[in-house]
Order: sequence, then structure tokens, then C-alpha cells
Amino acid sequence: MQEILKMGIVLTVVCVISAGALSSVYNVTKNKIDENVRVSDIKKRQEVLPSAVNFVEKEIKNKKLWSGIDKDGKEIGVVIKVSPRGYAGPINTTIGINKDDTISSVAITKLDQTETPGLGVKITHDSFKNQFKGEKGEELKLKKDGGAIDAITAATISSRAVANGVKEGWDWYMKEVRGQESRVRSQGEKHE
Amino acid sequence: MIDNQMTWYMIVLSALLVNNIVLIRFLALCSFFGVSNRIEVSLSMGMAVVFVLTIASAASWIIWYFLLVPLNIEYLRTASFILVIATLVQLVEMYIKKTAPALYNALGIYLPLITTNCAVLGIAILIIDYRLGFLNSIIYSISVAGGYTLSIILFAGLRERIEMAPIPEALKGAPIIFITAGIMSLAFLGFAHLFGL
Amino acid sequence: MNNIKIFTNGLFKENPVLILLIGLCPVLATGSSMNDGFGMGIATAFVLISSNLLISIFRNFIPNSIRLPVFIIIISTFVTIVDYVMHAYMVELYASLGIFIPLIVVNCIILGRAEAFASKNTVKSSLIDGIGMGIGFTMAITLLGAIRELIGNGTLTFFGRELFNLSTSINFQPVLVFIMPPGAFIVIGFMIAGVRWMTKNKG
Repeated sequence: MQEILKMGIVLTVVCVISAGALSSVYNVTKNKIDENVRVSDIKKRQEVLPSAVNFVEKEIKNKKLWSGIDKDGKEIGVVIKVSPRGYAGPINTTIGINKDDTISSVAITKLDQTETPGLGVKITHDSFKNQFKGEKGEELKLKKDGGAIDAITAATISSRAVANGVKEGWDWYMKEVRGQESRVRSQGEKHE
Repeated sequence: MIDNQMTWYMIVLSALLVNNIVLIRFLALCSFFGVSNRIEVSLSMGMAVVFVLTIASAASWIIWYFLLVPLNIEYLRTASFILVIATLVQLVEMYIKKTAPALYNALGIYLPLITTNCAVLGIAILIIDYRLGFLNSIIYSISVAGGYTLSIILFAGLRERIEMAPIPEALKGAPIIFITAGIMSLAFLGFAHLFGL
Repeated sequence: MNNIKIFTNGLFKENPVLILLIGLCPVLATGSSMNDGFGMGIATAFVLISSNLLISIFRNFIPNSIRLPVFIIIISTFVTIVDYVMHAYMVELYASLGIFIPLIVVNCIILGRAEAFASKNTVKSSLIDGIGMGIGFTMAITLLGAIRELIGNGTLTFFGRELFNLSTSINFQPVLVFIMPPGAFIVIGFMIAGVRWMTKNKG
């Protein structure tokens, strides 16, 4: 009986100390983790639309987008985010689109993906991401699929995931953002 | 990668072949090398893993979605999962010993080993990371354990042959076994890109 | 056993990876570059040293029949601390090690040392044992990562910096398979064979 009581007390004490330690570590690190994500999001938006000085958050059909405003207060493009399915997990891709509907730039950091080290992870390299600059429409596909993007050697799945993700994001932008704009404009013209 | 949009047979194929837990994902290596010297033994170990892994995943899923998330204590995930798995293995061992002595004799010694089998905790964490539903978690767990059983049995077959082969002194034992596993892993890599998985 | 012997034991004579062949899952999975291998090694060593220390301090208060659950709780607490601290302050490393951080809990080395050494020895020798085993583990996983990265990618990275790049400097064509899963098995096989060959030649 005494033995069982001792066991119970020891287990309880160990559990309580462990839970207490973890909850305090969690509280300290959580702010830092959230802060890291926030800072990195801002940095990625700046990276894909470098000449914008301010970003205005909007929401269309439950999907967030940011319109980039330059120093003269003019809208120079939008930033959207997509998460296509890669080889090992989702690839969180930030896409900047210029006013002329071409891709301004694509941002994927090492933290946005879980692709194979040394292989799929090369989607985060500039040599891959820069291929998207200035492209639009059907060009946003791998060369194998009839587009303009070179796949990374031995990492076709990851490359294709990014290309198709960017294409999908671009299609959404054309339909929901540009489509709406032109509809509003044509309605406005009718009124006049 | 596995997610809820996949059909059940895609999940099965992915877990069984394309992302084979031992040869591609590097989980459960201790028992893979430890008990793969004979085919019958490997089969028993495989069965024990199928059994424990499925129950452990189900239990972890319930604990995560009905206890840790509602109470906002997600940081206790690792601690609570490993305790659940250890307790579960004990309970299963006691239960089988009482109700099915024949099964216990076959699986008995392997059950305690499974607690430190990283596949069990690994899969419990993965089904949470992949945000799988309950049914998909069960399907995934059974297929992962199936993939383990498949590779360990195939490997045991190879090892029985290796024992009779003339091998350089320094490579005898563990080294040649690892290199063989490497070649087998290369073969499984051939399944990559299958159905775009 | 004197302290120096306990220390070098983990490094060479009973190197957990190359001689005892335990705790292999994280070694093979995360040792695909020198940088990741070293990070994983240090994370594991931290958990190993802390749990060895704590368990040896309280070894007389823990009733024998429940020692395993208590060890597991202590170890998983340290693992979760490493998990969150890395996530907050070493984001890149955290991203590449992924699920293998929480899996340190089931690394046989840690529970093995707790059970075989820390629960029976003094605080001082348990600490030394933890440091020795931790360095031994880190050495093995870093070496494996370095070999695989060098052949498979033509580079060596350390502390997040690329030390050199053979594919641009001498036009070396990397053998991709070495950073893929099969490479891990093959390289560790030859590493173990190499260790055996050396110890045999020594007598």
C-alpha cells in the first residue's frame, strides 16, 4: 500500500513538473515563433514586389491577397499565396504579379517546404525561382508540360508542383481579381 | 505526401511502396535490422507492428483531437503520445497473454520492443501533421505497417542468402547488411513518381 | 572505471552508431548534409546529457517499478523543449530536421543510457558518460552527412554556410543517389566496415 502511494506521488510530481516546464517554454517560444512567421511573410511580400513600399491586405472569396502600393501611392501589382502539394508536403509559395499580368517574382524559403534535402529543396534556389519572372499564362508550366520552366534534375515532382501552383494562383488572379475589375469597369462604362 | 484529398488506394500505394517507411523514410530501422534474420520471425514482427501501430494511431488521434486541442495543451503531444504507446503496448501484451496464448508465444518477445520502435510514434505524429481524418489515419497506419512487413520479409529472404555468400572479412555482418538494404532502397526508389505520388 | 575511460568509451570503444549500431533512424534520415547531421547530433546530445544528469540526480527517489515511465516523461520533456527552442531560434535547421526532432524520444541511445548507466552511477560519471556518448553520436552523424553531401552534392555546409563547392570549382558531377535514401545505407555500411578494418589492424 505504501509502495503504491509512493509510486503515485512520484509519478504525479514528475508529471506536474514536466507539464509546468513545458508550458513555460511554450509560452516563451510561441511569441518568437509567431513573430518569425510574421517577419518572414513581410519579407517575402517585399521580395516579390520590390518596388512596393506598402501592402494593403484584401480578401476575395476567403482568399487573402495584398495589393502593393509604390511610393507615389499607385497600385503596382498584387501578392497572392498558394500551397501546392509537393513530394513530401505542401510548398507555401508567395507570388507577386505585375499590373501587366506577368509574374514579378516567386518566393519560397527553406521553411516553406519539406522537400528532399539536396534535391527537391533546390526549388528554393534563385536559379529555379527566377525562371518565373516575366512569364504568364501557359508559360507557367514545366517545359515537359509545354511551358517555359526548366525542371530541377531528379526533382520533377517538386518542380512541377511549384509550376502548377504558380499557374493555379495566376489563373485565380485572372478570374477573380482581373475578371472582377474588368466587369466593374464595363458596368461603369454602361452607366455613362 | 498524404492528405485528405487522396483516395484510399492512393494512400495505400503511397505508404506501401512509394514512401516505404523503412527504406525511404528511415523509420523502425532498429527492429528492421534486429529481427530480419529469419523469414518466419520477420512475419511475426510484422504482424505485431501492424497490430500495435494501428491501435496506437487511433488512440493518438483521439487524444489529439478530443483532449490536447480542446484544452490548448498541444505542447504535451510528444510526452502524451509516447506514454499512451508505452501503456498500450503493455495492455495489449497482457490481454493477448490471457486470451490467446498461442499468439502471445508468436509475438510475445517483440511487443515490448515496439515501444521504442520509432515508426509507431513517427506515424502518430505524421497523421496529426498531415491533418488526416480518423478513417484515413487508420488506412494510412495499416498500409505503413504493411509496407514495413513487406520490406522486412523481403529483406529476411535476402539475408538468408547472404549468410552463405563469400564476403570480405571487414564487410561481414552489419556492413554488408546495410549495403544490401541500400540496394533494396534503390529498387524501392524506382516506385517514386508512380501515379505522381 | 575512471572518468577519462568513461568519456572515451562513448567516443570510440562503444560508439553508439558505429560500434553498438543503435539510434540509427535519425542518423540515416537526417545525415544528408554535414550541417543537418551536426545539428541533429547536438540536439540529441543535449537531450542525452540533460536526461542522464537529471536521472542520476534523482535515481534514489524513483521507485524501481515505475522507473521506465518516469524516464520517458523526463526524456520527452527535454525533447519538447529542444523542439520549441529550435523552432523559435534555429528556424532553418528545424525545418530540415522536421519530424526527427520529436522522435529523439524513441532514440534507443537515450533510454538505453538512462537505464544502463545513469540510473546506477553517480552524477559526475553520468554527466561524463552523456557527454562522451553525445560527442560520439554527433561525430558519427556529422561524418556520414559530410561524406554524403560531398559525393552527392559536391559541397560541404557547416553552420548554415557553404564551405566549398566542387561542382563549380572543379566541375565535379555529383552522384545524386548519395543524398537520396539508398546512399545513407551504403555509406554507413562502408563506414562500419572501415571502423572494423581499422580496429582489426590495430590488433
